[in-house]
Amino acid sequence: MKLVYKEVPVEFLAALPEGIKYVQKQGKDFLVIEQLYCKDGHSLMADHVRMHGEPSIFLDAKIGSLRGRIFLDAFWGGHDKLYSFIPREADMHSITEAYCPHCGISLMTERLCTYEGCGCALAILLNLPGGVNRILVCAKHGCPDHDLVVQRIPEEISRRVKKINYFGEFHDDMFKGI
Amino acid sequence: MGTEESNYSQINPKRCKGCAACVVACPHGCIEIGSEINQMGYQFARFAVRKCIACGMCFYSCPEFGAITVFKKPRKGA
Repeated sequence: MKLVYKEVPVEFLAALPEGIKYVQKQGKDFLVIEQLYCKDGHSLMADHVRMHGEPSIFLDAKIGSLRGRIFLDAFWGGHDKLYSFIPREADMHSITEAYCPHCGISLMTERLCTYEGCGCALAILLNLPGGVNRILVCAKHGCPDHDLVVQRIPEEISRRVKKINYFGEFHDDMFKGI
Repeated sequence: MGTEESNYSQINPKRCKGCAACVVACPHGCIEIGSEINQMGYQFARFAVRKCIACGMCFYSCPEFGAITVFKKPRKGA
C-alpha cells in the first residue's frame, strides 16, 4: 500500500451509493460513511463520538477474552479508531469478533483476506442502506484490508475505491483543522 | 528518534496507553515500550530504531485515536 493520496474515481461519485456521502476537505475528495446497519437493521453510527468532525461507526467487539466497544473513523480509508478497552499483548494476533451494539447479533462473515501476509478467513460485515451494498472489514487485528461491495459499480472501480487509504504525514496534513 | 530524512512513527505520549499493539505489529521492531509514565499512568510506547519502512502497521493496530502518526521520507525529486 502506497502512502499517496488516492483520488476518488469519478465513476464512483457518479453512482454514489446511499449511505455514503462525498465531502471536500481542503480541496481533496473524501468518501464518508453516513449510514450503516447490522443485518437486523440497527444503525451503527455514533453521533456522540465524532472523528474528524463526523459521527463514527460503533461496534461491540471481542478480542481474545476482552470485550468492549470500538469506534471507527467514518472517512473511507481513514482507519482511525478508539477502543473502550486496552487489548492485551497476547491477543494482538487475534480475530476481532464484532457484534451489533443494539441487538448483539454477530457481524462476522466468511471472507478470505488477500492483504499481503494476512490470509484471515473472517470479516466484519456492515450493511449500507437497503442491505444489498456492503462494507467488509478484515477481522484480523491491525489488518487494513476493507472492501466496498456496491451493485452497479464495475469491479475495476471497486478495486480503486478499495485502495483508498490514508495515514502517515499526509494523513496528518489531510485532516488538519477538521 | 526519527529525523526528517528517514521514515518514522510519531507516538503521542499523552494518548498512548502502552498496550504494545504497535510493538507487536511492527515488522522491523522499531517501537518499544519505554520506562517513562504518562499523565494517565501508562508506560507509553516510543519509536526507538531507525529501520522504519513506513508500512503503517503500528498505526493500523493502534486502538487509540490520534496516538500514532507515520511519517514517510519524501521520494527524491518529489
